[in-house]
Amino acid sequence: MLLNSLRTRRGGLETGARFIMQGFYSLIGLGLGIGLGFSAWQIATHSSLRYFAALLWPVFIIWQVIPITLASFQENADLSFLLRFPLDFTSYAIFYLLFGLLDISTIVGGIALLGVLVGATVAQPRFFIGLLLVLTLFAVFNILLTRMIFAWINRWLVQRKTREVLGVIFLFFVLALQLVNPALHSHYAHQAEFREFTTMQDVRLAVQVQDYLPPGLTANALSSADSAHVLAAAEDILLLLLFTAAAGVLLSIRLRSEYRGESLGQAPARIAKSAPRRHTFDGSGPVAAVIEKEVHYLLRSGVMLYQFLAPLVIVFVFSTGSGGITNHCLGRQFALPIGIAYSFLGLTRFLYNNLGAEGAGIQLYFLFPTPFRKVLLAKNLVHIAIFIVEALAVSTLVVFRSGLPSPQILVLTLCWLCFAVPMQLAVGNLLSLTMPYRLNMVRMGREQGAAGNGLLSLLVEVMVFLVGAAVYFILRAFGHTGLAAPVFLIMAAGSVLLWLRVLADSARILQSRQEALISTLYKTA
Amino acid sequence: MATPAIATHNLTRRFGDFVAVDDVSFEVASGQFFGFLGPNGAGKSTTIKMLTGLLEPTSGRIEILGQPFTAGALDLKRQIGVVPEGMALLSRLNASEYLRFVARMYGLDRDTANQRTEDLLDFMQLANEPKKLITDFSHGMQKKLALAAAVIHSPKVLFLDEPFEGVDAIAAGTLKAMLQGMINRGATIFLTSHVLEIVERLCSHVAIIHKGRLVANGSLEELRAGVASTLPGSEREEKLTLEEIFLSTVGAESAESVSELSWLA
Repeated sequence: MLLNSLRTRRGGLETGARFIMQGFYSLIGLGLGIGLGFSAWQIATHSSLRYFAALLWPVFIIWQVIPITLASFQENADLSFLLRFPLDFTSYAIFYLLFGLLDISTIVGGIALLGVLVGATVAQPRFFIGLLLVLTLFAVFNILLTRMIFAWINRWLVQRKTREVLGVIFLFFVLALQLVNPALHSHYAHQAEFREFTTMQDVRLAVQVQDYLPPGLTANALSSADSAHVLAAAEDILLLLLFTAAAGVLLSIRLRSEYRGESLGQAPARIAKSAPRRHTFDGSGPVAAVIEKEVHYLLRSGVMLYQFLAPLVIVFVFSTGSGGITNHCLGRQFALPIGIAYSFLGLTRFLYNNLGAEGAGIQLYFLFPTPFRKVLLAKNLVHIAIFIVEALAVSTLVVFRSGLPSPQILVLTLCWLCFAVPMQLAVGNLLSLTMPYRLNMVRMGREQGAAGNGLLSLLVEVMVFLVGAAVYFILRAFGHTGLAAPVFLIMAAGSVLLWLRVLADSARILQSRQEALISTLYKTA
Repeated sequence: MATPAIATHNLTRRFGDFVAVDDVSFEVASGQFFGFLGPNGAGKSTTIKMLTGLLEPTSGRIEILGQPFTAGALDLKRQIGVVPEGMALLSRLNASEYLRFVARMYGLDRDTANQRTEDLLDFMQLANEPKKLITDFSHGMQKKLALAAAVIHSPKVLFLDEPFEGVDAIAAGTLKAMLQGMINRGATIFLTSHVLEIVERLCSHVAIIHKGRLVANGSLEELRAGVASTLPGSEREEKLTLEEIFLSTVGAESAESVSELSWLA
């Protein structure tokens, strides 16, 4: 497979990009492993194994959160092709789990647990066997849980009704989380004398609860074994086994349905002849037609909707807690531009691969008597509209958390956007035509052949942000902050010209890339 | 002499060293139902892709309705309908959304697009699945939808790549009647199919491509006479079927060279 991938320039770039990304994540895992290893060494040296829970909780959270936050960048293998072979269910499930071992979360989590094992063993070699067994069980639980969550989310997101219900629940959840902190603050502000007492009570309750959850059970099992409380250790391990079995059973239920050949397509709707519906847009002609089609596609893909919502969650996470950006003076000052820049991530796959969802339909654009620039323009208009909605949501979140930004920052952010949006559209159109890959509309995770495009698009997004930051800070260093807005607007004029140029040249580029584009998007459709 | 609806001049397409279509020239008269035949890998789909703008020829010229055809010939594309290999469907739309989309991309106004969409959905018996997404359609339903999309703008020239593959007998009968109706109203149809009975029943003229080269071209009678002239005297009098003409032209050596698989049950 490796040799095959190196036969073309595109394949070579793809393989190189994949190695870079895997190396990057392995480095993160290594750093985490070293840090946790050192902490484990400290804990084991003092024989206070119960505190292993403090190490295992972050590992658990990272293991479960990474797949969600990195869903856009992680390649996800679709194993449904295996169903055509005479494979029994056990073999199918084993394949599914083996592919799970290649997940970035498993690599990072595995390295982190290895760090804990090595650190604790160096401090107390007698812990090795017990640690190895219990940490292996903990790792198996995490692998099964993350695979189970993804398998079920993928299934739910395919069904339109479930998707809508989950979407509403998710929005209420985000809103509710927003209101929790102010509500608590307001509550405690009136009862300052109870604040410390209640916080301690909360902590005690949390510790008691975590004792019965997998990271706590793992730590308690080790601690009990070290204190020669064999029954207590067995009880903890038994509970951990029950959690693992539960995750396994839920995963098995899902896999069995897939194994039986369940289609992940839209469930058949009721057979009824409906009256002709009015169109969403009153415009006529190809641009309006493409816009309507893009909106239909967006609303029918849980994966696409998830991509747009993910940055909101991340902005929320990073804007809360004591380490949140909104709690630092600098963070508060630049929370808005940072949040808005981050919201571009929700659009990455669609800006930089805007033909990826067409599949076999890509041939249509070569058959239609419609200039291709109009197709790209319509797609770009949809992306701009989505970005505006996303940026407004992120801004609302940021303003709610850190207050209104200064008028200067607000104006500069808007001016920077005038540069950033057309620039991203221009580069996005170019990459869409030259490095496309087929988007999977029903499964989460990055598709095969996406690494090169993904890496380049990320680099462009970072560069666009860094250019904006550099302009601002350089001018601020020289005391000419007022010049930043005109500079951004001049840059914006350049990026708009570039965007228009790319649109105008799109037919020519398309013609030279026609066969590769059809073959890439159609062959796997 | 009337301008041919389709004409190719020394059309050639290479993929590296492999010559998929080699110096092919032919003409299809206006109003003709033209069958384009060939064994697997002969160059049929490559030719139809070049004729519809999905593939650029390495050399040679194409004329449609008397005008040079290139990928940028947008006015000509308005006159052409295509059912390409793979059908070019947008899987996450339902049938009516897809037809309306195609109609508007061909420049029809919204009302006309809506009217023709309803007519075609009824005609193709796809109207009772209004919410079903194309991805959930059977292969035969997808073929019918692709054919509906190819004719929604009432093209003068229609290119069909295996249009009856996977379509049930009842629907195939309806589609054949529709295509014959288009011919009667002056349209030109260029059809590739492996089902020789259909080609024989529908097409007045046939061309056969083999290993990238055009090896036969003419009316069915001309082809029949050509093959019959090579046969012994007693067999010349029998009316040859298209299958016999086809096998005689390209398939005989292949049929003989197939050895029996003795291990098959």
